[in-house]
Amino acid sequence: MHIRPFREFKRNRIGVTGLVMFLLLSTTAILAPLIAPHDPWDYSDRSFQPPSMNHLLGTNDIGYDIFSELLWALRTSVFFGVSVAAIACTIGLILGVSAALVGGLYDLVVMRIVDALLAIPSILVLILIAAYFRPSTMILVVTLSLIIWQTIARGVRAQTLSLKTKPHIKAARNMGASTVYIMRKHILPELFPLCAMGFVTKARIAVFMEAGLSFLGIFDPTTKSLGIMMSYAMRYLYLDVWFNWLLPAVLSLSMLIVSLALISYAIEEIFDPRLKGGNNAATV
Amino acid sequence: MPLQFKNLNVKYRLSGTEGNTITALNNISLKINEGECVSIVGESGSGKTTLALASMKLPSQNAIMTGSVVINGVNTSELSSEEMRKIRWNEISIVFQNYGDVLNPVHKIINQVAEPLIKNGESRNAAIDKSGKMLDYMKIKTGRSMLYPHQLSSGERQRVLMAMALITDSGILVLDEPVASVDAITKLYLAEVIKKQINIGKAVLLITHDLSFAALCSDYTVVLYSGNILESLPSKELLDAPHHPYTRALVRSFPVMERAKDLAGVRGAPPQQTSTPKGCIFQPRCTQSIDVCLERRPQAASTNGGGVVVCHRCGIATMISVENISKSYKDIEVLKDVSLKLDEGEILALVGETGSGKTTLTYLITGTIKPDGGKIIFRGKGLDKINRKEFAKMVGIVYQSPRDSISHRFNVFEAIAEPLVIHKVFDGKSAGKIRNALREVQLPVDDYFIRKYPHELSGGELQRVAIARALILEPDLIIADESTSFLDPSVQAKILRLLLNLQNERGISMIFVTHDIGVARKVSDRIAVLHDGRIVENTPTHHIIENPQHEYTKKLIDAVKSSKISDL
Repeated sequence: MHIRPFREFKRNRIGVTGLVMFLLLSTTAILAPLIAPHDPWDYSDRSFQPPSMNHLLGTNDIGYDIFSELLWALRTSVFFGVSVAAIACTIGLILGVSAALVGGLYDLVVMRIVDALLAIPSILVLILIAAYFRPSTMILVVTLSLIIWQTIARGVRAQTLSLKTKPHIKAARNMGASTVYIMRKHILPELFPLCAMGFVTKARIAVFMEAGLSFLGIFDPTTKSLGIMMSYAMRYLYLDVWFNWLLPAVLSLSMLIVSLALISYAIEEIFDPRLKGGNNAATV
Repeated sequence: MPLQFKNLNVKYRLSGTEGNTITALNNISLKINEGECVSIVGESGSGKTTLALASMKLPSQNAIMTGSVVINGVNTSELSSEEMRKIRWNEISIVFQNYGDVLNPVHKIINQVAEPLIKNGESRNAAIDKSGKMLDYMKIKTGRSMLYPHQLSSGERQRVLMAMALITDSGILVLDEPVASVDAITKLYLAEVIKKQINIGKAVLLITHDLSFAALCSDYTVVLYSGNILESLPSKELLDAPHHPYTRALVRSFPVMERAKDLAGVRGAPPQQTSTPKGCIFQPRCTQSIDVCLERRPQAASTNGGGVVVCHRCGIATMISVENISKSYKDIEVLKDVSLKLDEGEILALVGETGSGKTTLTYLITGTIKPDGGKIIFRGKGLDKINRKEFAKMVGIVYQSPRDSISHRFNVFEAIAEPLVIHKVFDGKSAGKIRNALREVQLPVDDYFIRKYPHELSGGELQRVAIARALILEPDLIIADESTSFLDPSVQAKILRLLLNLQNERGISMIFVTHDIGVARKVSDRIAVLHDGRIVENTPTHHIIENPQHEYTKKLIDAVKSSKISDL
């Protein structure tokens, strides 16, 4: 069936809401160095200042500006999510398509690796690696990507296998088309929805994991992170700073994850019309 | 040797201009023995009648004749017109082509028939008597022999002409279109008359465009094209196994009772005879011409049937030959020892029930899969040695379901352009080419249409797009794999017509894969029946339908024909 994904997405209210939220959050994050009023790594005032015009969300236990910290932490989350999703998608796409097209022993090996990775709980591996090696953010991004690409690869491979037998691809092959041409013109466009889904899902997982790990304190403590902020805020709950310290961090994280969830929900609905609500649902 | 043509050339001067001539006959050499009939076939304008007139030394005034016609050992070119007159009607007589003015309108036919006898000195009464008997023999009803030519029907006039030729009992008969204007029953009678003449030892030169009549009466058939002999072959092979592409095209144009395939004329138009081309004269209309055909005149070569063919490729060439192919998928043997040939410009139908191995065979032929044993030869080269991309350029495939075989992401333009893009020949001219292709398959060419996506088109339209896509690279072979089985009868009929027209116009070969022997019978020259991975029958289509040999074929035909379900 022919679907024009962009036109459909524009019509999907849930998707548009999610996308707008995500764009707002990520734009703020990207512009953090410009809009943050204070240096988040430096003492700017006395500790535990309540919100004021100078410090929108007050200051923390050592006098850092919480608002600036929040912007930089959001930046870390967005960067982490997008990079992990991009790398995982690329790996998954390349390995999945090639496994389906090449087949044979190569396919077997790739799929066994996928099986193995599926069996390993990624959060545990990440905790162990992070706690033991204390790696930098970049390395952590790569590590996480390397252990969560498997579901994408599996989906892509299955889809490619089914596409491979499609008459229009056979027709192109019989016209003398090269594998590169078939990939570019026939397979990749068909894989787009799967990749988009995978991208959003992986980004969500990555954002959540980064926050979780830093909350547990096994993340580079010098990096600004929503998890670290929450973890510190929790220690001073008795001082009644939750509304200007803990809540903004929790809300930002939630909004980021919800926006991604909404986008993925919309994508799923577009490419699987059976999920469409309203009268259509009753007829299925 | 009663009648012989030696290097006969005839040119006609065109009025008004000096040295401006057209060639009517070019270097014709031909022999006719006693008790033998040779027929000359060809399109109109090929020089048949000129040959008949030349044999009687009756060329028209603007004709220039060189070479010689030898009648009973005498070279007629050395004879004076007086001597020639003695030979005419006594040694050689002619049945002229039946035009209205052939007979003298002011004489009764019985007198006209008697005229040669009277000129030879027989008494008038005896001549009239003989003439009456001859007209009786030619089944002119008693009483009608006293009529004037204009009072007779054209069929009767034809028989009067025949009677004139037979009355002198000359040893050589030249018959120019003797059956062009008679009905089938009279035709059969005339065939009997001619056969009798042959049996009593006369030499007959039969000029006709009626191929079945030529096959019926003559021993040899000579195919004349634009004044040149292209092929001579035993007449019994004429309808079933012609060697020259031109002869095949003539046979395809000719209606034969048992043939169900649609008639197709010879593609293109006969050449202008004012200039002689350097290469083969049939090249512009040929379905299998190669470079050498443009450069040199072909030489005559003998064929295995005992005939002669004038063709650089020694007659109709084989395009694909499949030799003892076998193929299995794991434990299932799909094709067992299959051998098959496809000639250039031929339409072969591959018929069999689903699961009989038809699709596997086409996949093997397109090189999509490799055979387990045996080999496939394409134009003399092993398929495995041909570059896949080059081969793909020569083969267009139309698939069963156009909905699946065209990507839903491509609009009409992109779908048809795809082969051009793949072969990196998409350029500024391509848009025009695509529009032409659309025109050829009778689809609209406006911008609105070419931007439509597959889901906006009907099955018939989409299959036309698929055909346009298959033809855009101008392939030499079209494989139609159940191309019409998804379509409703009306659309199917249109698509079949379209495919056949394109096949004929472009002279391409075609493999038509179908489970429907009824459709195969309408489109193909030859049917190969596949059953359980074997070819059980492979003969010209009308033979298979008229007289199926294999049990399975009989069953298949009965299944299509039967309108009743047997009682269980």
